[in-house]
Amino acid sequence: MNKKISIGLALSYLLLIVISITTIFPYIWMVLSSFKSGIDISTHPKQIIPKTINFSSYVDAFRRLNLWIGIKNTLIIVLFSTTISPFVSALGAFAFSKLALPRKRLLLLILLSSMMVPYAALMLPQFQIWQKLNLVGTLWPLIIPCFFGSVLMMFFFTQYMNGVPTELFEAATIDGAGYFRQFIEIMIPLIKPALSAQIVFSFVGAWNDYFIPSIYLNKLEVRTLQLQLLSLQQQQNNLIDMNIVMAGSVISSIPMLIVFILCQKFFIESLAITGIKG
Amino acid sequence: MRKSKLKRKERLVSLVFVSPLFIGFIIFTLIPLIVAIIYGFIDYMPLRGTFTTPSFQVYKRLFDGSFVTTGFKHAIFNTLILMLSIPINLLLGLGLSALLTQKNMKGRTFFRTVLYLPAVTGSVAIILVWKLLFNETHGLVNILLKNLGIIKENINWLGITSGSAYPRFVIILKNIWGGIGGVTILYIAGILNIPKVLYEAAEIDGATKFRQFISITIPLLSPITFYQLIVSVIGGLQSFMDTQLLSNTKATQTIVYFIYDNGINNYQYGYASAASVLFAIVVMVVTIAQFKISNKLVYKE
Repeated sequence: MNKKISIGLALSYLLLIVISITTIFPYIWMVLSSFKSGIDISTHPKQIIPKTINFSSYVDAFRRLNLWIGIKNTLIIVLFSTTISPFVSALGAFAFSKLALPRKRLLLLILLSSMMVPYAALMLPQFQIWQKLNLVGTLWPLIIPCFFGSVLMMFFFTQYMNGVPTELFEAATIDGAGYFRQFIEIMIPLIKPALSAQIVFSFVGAWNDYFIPSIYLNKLEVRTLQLQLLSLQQQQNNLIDMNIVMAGSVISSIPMLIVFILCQKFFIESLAITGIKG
Repeated sequence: MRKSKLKRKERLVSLVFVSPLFIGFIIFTLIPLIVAIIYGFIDYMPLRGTFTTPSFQVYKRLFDGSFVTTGFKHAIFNTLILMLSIPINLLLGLGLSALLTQKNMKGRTFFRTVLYLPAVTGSVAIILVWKLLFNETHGLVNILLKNLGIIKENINWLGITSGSAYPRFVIILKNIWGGIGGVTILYIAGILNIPKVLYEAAEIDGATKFRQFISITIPLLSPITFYQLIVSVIGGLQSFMDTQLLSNTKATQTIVYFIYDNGINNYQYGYASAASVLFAIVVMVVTIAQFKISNKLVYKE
């Protein structure tokens, strides 16, 4: 009996290890290819380990892909979506959770209903708005929406704030503290865990976003990192520069890897919680 | 007197606090949605500045094409085919979570982390590596298959010359690779939530591990299965990037790509808007169904 179990366990481990290697393999291949020379990738495709470790593709990636411009643009968008957007969303959540907002349920329902509408249905009219404002080809179509917050984030914050005792704020009101001050001085410190989780998610979302930037950022100066990776890949159909593209891919993946390793509890817990609550 | 004045101030302030969200809702959701509905009826062409009298003409035109070549029906068909990864992911995820919740299993956190990696880091970079791996002449996949004697000629995985079957296969494979971690994590959480007593009782009754899995684990996980199914369907309906970037052919065009291509690239606003309105209706119906049914499931427990 005991022996049977341990064979089962051993087989499970074997299977899991094989699956894990398959999962990681594309990342390994990305790193290995980035160290090869472009010629090796196209003429010696069987060579798994690069003959000589070649850092020049990283230098080339920065020079030829203009990665700095991409990193700068991505960081600008990341900055707004990890500060302004969570702040505005939390402020709205505060009103929903703790203040005497008239017609609260109806207003919340209206906002939540907007989450059902897929972006694809809004894409063209939104594009026209930015076109009329002459802002297509600038970063503004990705920055300005941050000032209106995110309904999804607001909803998470509202749920979290509902767990904070209301008496705290009633007492503060009696003491004469204004509502905005209550929000800044009492609520923000209390929702720090939720806030940091949402900031991490926004960071990952803004860093990886490709769809919306591809609509608006059609010029070299405003391209984000993700768009720049693609542009080189699309320019050449041969594989000569594939090592540079892979070096760029490694660079764009590293921040996400770091965030994931540092914050994996956030990701995995929040995923598990949403699922179990259904 | 003073109290009611205070109440009025609180109402006013709270309205100010939610106003950015509402202004955003009106500018970026409500107005665009209404405009999209109008465009679909008047066949608006922004470059020529022309529109027709309101009719269902554009909607009729959407369904002209066939399922196999190009057009809206083809895009619907493709989107549905690519969702094949969903049931596969659910099955594999269920199996993996069963392995990972075995009694003496060590390293659960490690495997969980590894499996979930693609979901977080996945973006353009991942697609680029997949393109390299499945490259026709220099890709590792073709080279391995050739060396193993499985294929004689290189396969044109990403399409142009090969039609749509191979690119579809690669996209589905990539979505299994990228999606399995999330599914597994949810199932693990679900399994760990099942009361141990149930298994102990089954053990006493002499039920085998397999029997316990079939009669206890799977039924009790059904709310999670349902939740994941709906969330994946909503996500799958909206897939865009894989077909635009991973495959080289429009033969794998999805609904969202169809809207993007006709609207943003070809300036057929009326045509694309009509498609987007139908698409929005489907997504909304699925979302509402999810909401209704998952509420019911929660009450049942």
